Amino acid sequence: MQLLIQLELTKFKKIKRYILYCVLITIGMCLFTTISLFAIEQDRAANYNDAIKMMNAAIIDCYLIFSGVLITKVIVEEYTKRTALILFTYSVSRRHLMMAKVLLVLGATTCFMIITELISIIYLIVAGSYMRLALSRFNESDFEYWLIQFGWGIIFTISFTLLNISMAFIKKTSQHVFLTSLLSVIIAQILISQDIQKLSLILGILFIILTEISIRRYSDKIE
Amino acid sequence: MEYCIVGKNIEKLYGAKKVLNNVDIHVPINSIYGLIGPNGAGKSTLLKCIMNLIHIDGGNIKVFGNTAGMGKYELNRTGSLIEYPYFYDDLTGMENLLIHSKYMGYYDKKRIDEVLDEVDLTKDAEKKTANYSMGMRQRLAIARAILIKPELLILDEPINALDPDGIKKMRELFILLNEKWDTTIIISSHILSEMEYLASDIGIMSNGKIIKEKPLKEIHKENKDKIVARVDDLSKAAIILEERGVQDFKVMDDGQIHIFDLTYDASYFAELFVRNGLKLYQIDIVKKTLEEYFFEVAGRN
Repeated sequence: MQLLIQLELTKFKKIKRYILYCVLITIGMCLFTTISLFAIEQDRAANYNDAIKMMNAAIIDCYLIFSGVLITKVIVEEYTKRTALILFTYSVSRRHLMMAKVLLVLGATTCFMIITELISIIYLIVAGSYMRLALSRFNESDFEYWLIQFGWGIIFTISFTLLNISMAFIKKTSQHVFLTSLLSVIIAQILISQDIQKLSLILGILFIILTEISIRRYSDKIE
Repeated sequence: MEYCIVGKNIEKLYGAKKVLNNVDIHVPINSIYGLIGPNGAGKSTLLKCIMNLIHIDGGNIKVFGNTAGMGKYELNRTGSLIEYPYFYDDLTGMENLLIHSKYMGYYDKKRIDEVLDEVDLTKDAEKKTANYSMGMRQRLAIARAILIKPELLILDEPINALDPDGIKKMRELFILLNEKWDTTIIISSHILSEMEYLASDIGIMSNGKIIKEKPLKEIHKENKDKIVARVDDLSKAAIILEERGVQDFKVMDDGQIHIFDLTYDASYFAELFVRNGLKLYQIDIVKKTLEEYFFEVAGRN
């Protein structure tokens, strides 16, 4: 599997472009955090929870779109550019070939998201204390709150990326992947605003099953 | 006879349309099997079915004796070019071959250089395939297909975009592979003249069926030659032939008379026409081409 993932990465010559996307998202999040701190200042919030929640929701949205772009490149293009016809002439299990793609997308999205989350929270701590915008300093309970939001955010992004991956295997078009990404963003906003992120765990399990079914039933259909 | 591929009653449906209709195919081991037929006959679909790229809806395909068709073991012994020379276009020709060799578990840089040289792409190896011409893509795809020195080579219209020099080189390469490494080769094409040079066996496909399958030698034997004569008075020539008991001839619109009865040779007919006062402009023994045979068989079906 490791070799298959490495081979997927070899095909992926424009990885620098995706690193640039990550950098841009991170810069965007820092700017967004600054703006949200000023909004908090007007409310004179007692803690950083709202800022963390908003920042986390925005990061999830960005990475759901990001994973859609990645899925189009790694999975959909293999079908639209018909290189799957070559891929399936290898004596490697087709399921393993597809699993390598799934792991690459999930791995890259999660890694880049963690980097953005870490840089954004560090920025929030530094900028928050420097601007003294909340009533209190960034404390342990704020950090715990961020940790929980961060954890749910990762689970949420992985879950909906899996939904997007399933759509890529079933429909094999970038339009469907893009629409699923947008739909995921809307659902993300609803779940986060209603504080029912736990639902993403159940959705995640469902989407794992859906991904498995889509790989088995649809991934090798290329006619 | 020992066969590399045997297909029985192969069926493939796209929706309600039967693209392959009870196809039977027999590819002898170490042969060069020319699969010929018009566009839309089902050649590419059949090759995809053999490669297990698409599932068949009926029948069975035996590859290298394996009744389950093209499995892992068989794929490791097979090179292919199906549909079109597809590549990862962000990568160079060399990188595409490197990836292929790694997937095939056959990493050999020397061999990669060798195949690039065989298809005349050494100096273009570091160019991105996105910048390759169609002919170059086709040659690179052939290089990829032969990289592992396969026992079975499946090539779908491999010479379409090549120039005459490229076609000649590829023909020599395929014959070399077949003779030197005993590679069984299936080539689909609608360039019938090329198949006549290359193939040892022919399968004719039409409307999703293989309507004829024969060694080329037998086709040549079966294909009656004809004598073509050009004279000044065709009706008189026809009367002369009938008087001599020659029945199997045809008067053509272009001033020629085609004689299929080869009991007598061309010199006999030349003398006959001249002796009877006809002006004889030309007389030839013409061999029937694969193309004529194809139209005859396809027409009958």
